[in-house]
Amino acid sequence: MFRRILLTIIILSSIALGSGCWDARDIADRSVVILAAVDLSQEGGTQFGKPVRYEGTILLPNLNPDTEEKVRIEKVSGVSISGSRDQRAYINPEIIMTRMIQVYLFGESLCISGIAPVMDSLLRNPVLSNSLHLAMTEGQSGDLLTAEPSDFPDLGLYVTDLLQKVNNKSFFPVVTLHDFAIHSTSPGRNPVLPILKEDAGEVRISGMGIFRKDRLIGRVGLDESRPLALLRGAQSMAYIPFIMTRDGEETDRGTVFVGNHRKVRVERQGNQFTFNITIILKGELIEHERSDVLTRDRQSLPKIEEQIAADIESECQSFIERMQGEFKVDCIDISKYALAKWRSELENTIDEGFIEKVNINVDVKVHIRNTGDLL
Amino acid sequence: MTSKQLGFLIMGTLVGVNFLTIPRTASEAAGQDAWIAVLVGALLPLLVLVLIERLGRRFPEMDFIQMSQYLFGKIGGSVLVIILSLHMIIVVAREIARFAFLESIFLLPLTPIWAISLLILLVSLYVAGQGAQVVARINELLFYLLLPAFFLIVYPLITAADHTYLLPVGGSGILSIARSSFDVSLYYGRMEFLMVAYFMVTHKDEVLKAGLIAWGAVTVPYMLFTAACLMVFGPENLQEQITPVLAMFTSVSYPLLERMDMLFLVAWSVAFRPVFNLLCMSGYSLTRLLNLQERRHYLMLLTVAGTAAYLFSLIPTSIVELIIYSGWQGYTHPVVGLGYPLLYLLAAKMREGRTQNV
Repeated sequence: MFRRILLTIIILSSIALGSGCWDARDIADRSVVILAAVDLSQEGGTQFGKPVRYEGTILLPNLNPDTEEKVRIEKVSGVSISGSRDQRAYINPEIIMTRMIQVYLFGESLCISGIAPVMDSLLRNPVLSNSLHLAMTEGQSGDLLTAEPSDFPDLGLYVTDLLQKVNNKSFFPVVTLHDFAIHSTSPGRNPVLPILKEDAGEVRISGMGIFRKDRLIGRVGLDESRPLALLRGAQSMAYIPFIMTRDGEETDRGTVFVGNHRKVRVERQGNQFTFNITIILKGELIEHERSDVLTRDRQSLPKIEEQIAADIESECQSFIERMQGEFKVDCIDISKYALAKWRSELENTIDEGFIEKVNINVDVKVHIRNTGDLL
Repeated sequence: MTSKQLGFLIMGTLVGVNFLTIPRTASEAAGQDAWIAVLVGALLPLLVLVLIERLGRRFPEMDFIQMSQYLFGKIGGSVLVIILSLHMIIVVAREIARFAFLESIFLLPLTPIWAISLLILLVSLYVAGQGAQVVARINELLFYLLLPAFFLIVYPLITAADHTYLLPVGGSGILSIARSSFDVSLYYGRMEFLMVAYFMVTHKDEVLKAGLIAWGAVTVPYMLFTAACLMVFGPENLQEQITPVLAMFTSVSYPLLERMDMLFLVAWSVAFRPVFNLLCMSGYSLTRLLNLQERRHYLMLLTVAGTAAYLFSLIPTSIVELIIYSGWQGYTHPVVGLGYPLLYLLAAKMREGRTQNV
């Protein structure tokens, strides 16, 4: 009898405690963060006698159906980025859940001064996934959070989708917290970040920020993002338009939809390093304006391939010149191949004055898989 | 138990929380050659396995306690049995503390460490209390339950790995690889539990084969996960991670289940196999030493051993203390793992010589 009573007590207490019913909380009592932004404080001031340095802004979708606003935006400032969370106690009574953060944005001034202190706060937090997406903004990132995309439930979902799927339609890298952390701390590597800006109430990608380790040192627009992504080997599927000419006259124009792949070989003669980058583009011709049948002329498709290859090669060479002359940092992620061969010799010096002196050759190979004619 | 069950017992005992941390240790000196260090470091438990098997062959009809007392006399043998039992209890304490801290950091941040440790102890006592055969079967069951988790490695390899971090092969130098191999060999400790478990196997001629398979089944995943972590983080960044294997899973977003790291951790954190395996072995040794036959005596001694391990596990109050404590404690593995079988083999040889002279 005693054993039965004991067993009943154990089963009942297990059901009550194990199910978590005793500690149940309504989902509406929680604030789920999906988008966060960090900036250097513009207003300054002191907290606990110490100068305020950071501003943290979070976007929280309202889970309570009775509220009017779709989202809540909270801005706090603090001496350190994690320390600023203390200020949220005074403006938000709910439990703030950061586990679902999908995107972190960094303001321009913070990027220039260096993101490493903020990265430390993010990487140290075990509830944050290192696969969350990163981007920087033109100006203060907190200001961008007030934009309201009309056709998305909230800005958080819109920006997440935008950054996550940008490489489905364009040559553009998708950057996660993990990528940035690894590229900003590994010898010979440097990260890039997408730049977001608000334009007439719409948030859009406007280019890419070039970093030397954790500091922003330059930026490129959308036109140069393509060669940067291709040289960097950021895998994407994208549209490339082309124009065919003969004797200076335009004969055809069209578009291919291709995926990219990169191969890098490095050679050395004494202290002169030569990188040979091969960019392989494979895909389909999806548009050409001239009405002739391409399958009748066996030279047509190869000519289109050659034209695209020449265009991309030219873009890449221009970008490499700018990288070696202006940025002076390996933002195309090729130094690692030299390290793979001569790691112990180059490891300590590869980040200073290496990429400027190397020879970089680019060869683009385009392979159009379809006939180019209507089906 | 059968030799197959012993194989699962070996796998369960060798693989603990150290599985999550080994890539960091291996890459500390060996850098890009960490995976080689993991392979070389695995030679220590292999040597321990072979030595214990050679020893066991000489005394197929005895158990560990009888053999100890036969070779070293009643007092000397008993002292050696007690020292090995204490060693296993301290290893159990370390494992309880490791699992508890891991769960506290990632899963139960608001639950006190003592409560998590107590829960681990109670479950382990229950499992160990069922006897060696049940313990071996639970190891087998957990092996199959955890097996799918090993395939999670494929996705980070496809999406986030960079093979250049492994190159040039051998570039870190033989000395660096040797240093890391020694550090890694401490992670493979605990094979010394075979001193007790070997004698529980019915077909002793199959022990070496089963042991080799188990050793391979531990070494290959250790090497693969170390190489994968290297390719995902690079040798420098690997030093920033306390549990690189978990960090590797957080670095990528898996399709459908985005936070695969949490799922892996939940699966991993319930598999505190070294705790109940070693508790079972120490409880069994002490019971046999005291010549007690009844199950309630075994349970009583098991509870005493478990309580001692629990109290020891509460000594480190932070993860830093635990790492330091574990580091020092790790050095006992090669001492006990190699020292015991070598000592026993030496004693057996001497005794053999004496018998022949007579």
